[in-house]
Parts: sequence; C-alpha cells; structure tokens
Amino acid sequence: MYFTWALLLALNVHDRRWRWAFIIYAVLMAFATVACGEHYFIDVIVAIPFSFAGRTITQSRTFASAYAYTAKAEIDPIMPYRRMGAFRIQALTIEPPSRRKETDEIRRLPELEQPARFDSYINPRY
Amino acid sequence: MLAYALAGFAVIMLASCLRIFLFSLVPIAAATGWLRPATIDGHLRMLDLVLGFDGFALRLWLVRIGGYQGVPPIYGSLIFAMAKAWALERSRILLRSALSGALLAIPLYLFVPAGPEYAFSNLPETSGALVPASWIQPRN
Repeated sequence: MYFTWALLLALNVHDRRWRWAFIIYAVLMAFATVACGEHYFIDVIVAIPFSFAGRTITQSRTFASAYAYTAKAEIDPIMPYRRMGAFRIQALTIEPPSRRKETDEIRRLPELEQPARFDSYINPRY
Repeated sequence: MLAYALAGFAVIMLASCLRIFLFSLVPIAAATGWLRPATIDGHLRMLDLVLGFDGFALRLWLVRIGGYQGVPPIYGSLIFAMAKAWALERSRILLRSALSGALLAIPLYLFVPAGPEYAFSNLPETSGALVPASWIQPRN
C-alpha cells in the first residue's frame, strides 16, 4: 500500500521536476518496503498494475460524477434536501434584521465576488 | 493559518501514535485470522527467490554497509510526500485514487495475508523459520 501510494503520487503530479522527485521517491519506497520486511518483492510488482488500475477507475466519468455529487454534498450539507425539493431549509431559519440585511447584500454580489468556498481549494484542472 | 497547520500536524502525529485506525481494524483482522489461519508467506518467499530477488539478503546487505538506518525514515515519510503532492496541485484524481486504492487494498490485506516481518521468526536471517499464525497475529 505504501508503494502504491508513492506511485500514485508520481502518476498524479504534473509538475515535471516534482514528478521526477516522486518517481525517485517511489523507487526508494519500493526498496524500503522490501528491506523493512513489510512486503515481498512480488507484492511490489503486483502493486504497479494495481496503482494504474485504481487511477484508471477514478478517472472514469461515472466515478468522477458520483464523487462530484458527494463532494458537493459535503460542502453544502443541506444540498440533498434541496434536491429532494421537500422544503427549503433557509425559510425555516430565523435571522436578526441586521444579519438578514448583511446576508442579502452578499447574495446580491456578482458570482465572481462571492466569498471563497472550500471547493475553490481543489484544483479543477485535474 | 499557521496555527491551524500546526494544530493539524499535532493531531496527525497524535493519531499516528495512538494507532486509532489499527485498533478499529482489530475485529476484522481477528475474524480473518480465525477464518483463514494459514498465511501464504512461504509461497511468496519462494516466488521472490524464483524471480531472483531476495529481500532478506537486501536487508542484510543494508545492515552490513550501515545503510539500514536510512530505510525506516523513507518508509515513514509517506505522509509528508502525500502532503507535498496535495499542496502542489490539489488534484482531485490524486485524492480519489489514494482513497479508492486504500479501500481496494483492505480485502487484499485481509484475504491474502502476508508480510515477512510478521511471519519469519528471525528476520532477516535466511534460515528464518515460519512463525505459526495465530488468530490475532498482525497481518500486513
């Protein structure tokens, strides 16, 4: 598993310099797992296609869309309820007038000026 | 932000010491040990020797030249490498593949139990005998 993770790092990092660094790290990790006595050499060989298979599966469209739904649900906890359309959570919350005004101002801002959310920390390119 | 980073680092280090996840896997490992008491270490060791790669000899050689001290830090530095890779690109594919790889590996660990560190009594001596597997024996 350690070698698999090290290999996944080398496969998924796109920066050329760091990619070489992670490839060297994966090779060192392969020797380290065998030398530590945690795994056999055959385990390391099996881990290579296992890593590629895992990466291919996670790149598939079905997996990505399912993950996107769960990731969005984590960011917005009431999103599943909104999708159900049963009721609007916001209508049930009682906000003081000052806070309500502040919230309305934020809602009126253009999309680009909205405050950063958690998902903006995830690079959408990869 | 630095305070949050330091707090997160402290939590990760504490969790590493407590082995919370290992404790949570004990019931599953115990059940597997009861259902499948025999490990396949002997076969895997033979397969290694057939392929011409002797892990025990590699360890003995590293100990002899004094290079073995550098091996455990490499093995233990994975968490920092993963943090660096995440900090570099914040790749969703990396996140997904690391998580799914770990989940896919659990059945492999449980149903194909093996690991020379736990199976051979006097590793890395090449004459090491296989230790009989008990139901609670750590499996790698």
